[in-house]
Amino acid sequence: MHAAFYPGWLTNSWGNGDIRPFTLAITTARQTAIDRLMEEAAILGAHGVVNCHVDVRYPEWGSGLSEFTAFGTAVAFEGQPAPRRPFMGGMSAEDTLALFRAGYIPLTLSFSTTAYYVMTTWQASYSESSWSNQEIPDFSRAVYEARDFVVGGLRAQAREVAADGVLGAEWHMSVEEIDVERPATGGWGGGYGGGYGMGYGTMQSFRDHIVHLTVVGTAVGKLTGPYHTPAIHSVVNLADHALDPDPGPMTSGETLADTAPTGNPESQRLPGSH
Amino acid sequence: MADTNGSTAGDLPQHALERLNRMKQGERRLWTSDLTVNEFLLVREAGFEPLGLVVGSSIYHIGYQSQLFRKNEELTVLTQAMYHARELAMSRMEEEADQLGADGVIGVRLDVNRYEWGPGLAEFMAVGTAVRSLGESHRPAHGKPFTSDLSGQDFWTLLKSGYKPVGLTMGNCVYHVAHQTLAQSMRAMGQNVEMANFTQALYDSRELAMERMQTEASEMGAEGIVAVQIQERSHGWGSHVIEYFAIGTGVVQGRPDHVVPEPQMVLPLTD
Repeated sequence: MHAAFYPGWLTNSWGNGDIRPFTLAITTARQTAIDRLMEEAAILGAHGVVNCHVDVRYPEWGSGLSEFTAFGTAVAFEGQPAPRRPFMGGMSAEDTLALFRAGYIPLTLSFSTTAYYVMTTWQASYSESSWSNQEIPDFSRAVYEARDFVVGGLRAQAREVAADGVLGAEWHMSVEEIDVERPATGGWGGGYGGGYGMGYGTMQSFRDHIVHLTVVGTAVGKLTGPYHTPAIHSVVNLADHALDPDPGPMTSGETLADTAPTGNPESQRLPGSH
Repeated sequence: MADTNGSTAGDLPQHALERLNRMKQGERRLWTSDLTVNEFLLVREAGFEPLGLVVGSSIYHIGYQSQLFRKNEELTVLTQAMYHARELAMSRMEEEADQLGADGVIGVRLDVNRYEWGPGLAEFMAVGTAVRSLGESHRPAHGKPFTSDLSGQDFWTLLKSGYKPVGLTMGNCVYHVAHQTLAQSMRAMGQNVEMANFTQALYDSRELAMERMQTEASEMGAEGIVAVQIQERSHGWGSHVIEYFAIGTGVVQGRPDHVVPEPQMVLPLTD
């Protein structure tokens, strides 16, 4: 895909906001890769695709070229007719099975992204050069705006496939600095080195930012029927690596299993479920 | 650090509030979460349902403090900045969970990114999954939703063994480790010796961070802290300025007995 955009120029004025052509290009390219994966799975007569993920390669940032590749393993239930549209999820086969048992089905990979332009205000650049501790509220607010935009997109997409919820959402955020010449904002004064009393419309240098925020997850739906969460047994894992439990992303060092006289919670986790 | 504990609730941006309200009243509830499949199932089994991802963030300008080259000392300006910004992010996340009517937030991650926004600026972000009890309320005595960095697995085990999370408790300390004098370095050259002032500095700052975490826990009425992590980071301040950061989940008893079913032994056949 090829995306060409002029950063910061949002429809017809300078301001904070999603850089629409950029976001649209990424979303479309990614969806195309996923659709082709689905086509392949349907041709194979699969019921679904597990372990689905999309790789993105940027041969070189700024060249505007990106390559999206969707991978997954197509699976079928023996002796059952293939559905018109296979299900699709980012989770492993074991996790997919556990979900089915509990009455849920993965529907599709959910994805939402934004390249959000954040204009540096005069107040923000002033606070940046201060010697005291303070929040930069304009930047905090901008991150909130970007996130609301992305979450809104994710929800809209999940609703399209009639999902009950989104599991395993992962955030990726990075910030790009960008030096621009633009009219000063904030009423009075300018940006770096700007003086008072400059006429409105005078071009000045600013260091603005682009927030790249992406969220990826799997939309899941509820199956109709009397399902219930499988019974859970606490177990002690006798394998050697149980002595050296792999700490999850949330915990490290002392886990509950070390302090409570109970089963090892990590062993509830199926292999490869992280 | 109780002095920087100032309440910041209610300062969510307007459209964040609107979005949360829409989520609350939505035609049909749709939840989002960063839980894995197993975590999701365990949370359901424990009698909770996920409500949505909740996030709090703050972009913060960290002030300046001069350091004495040969002195071990806490850099209080930096300590306060790092604490206050985390506190802002956490309380905003808590506020979002409150708006959603959650009982608590699990799997909280607290990230700090330096420099992306420019020199001296840091971005603090707290992310977690808000959950609501399907049965009786699990809100702690302080009335706000609980927060915890426990995974779904640990959360399940904690509840099953008769404890309840109260809230995340944290403490930090930014410390300047003194540089050695030339004479000191000469004496140590070629010798196996402990660098006493380095050891002392690390001890001091770690103890301060842990002590602050414990004070915070007892202030919120916790009986103990589980899953404590102690991190030592430099955050790009150079080799002689470090931050110790201690974080854990404060817990209280939910019921007097802590009996859990005897675990089965299993030998997995996978590698």
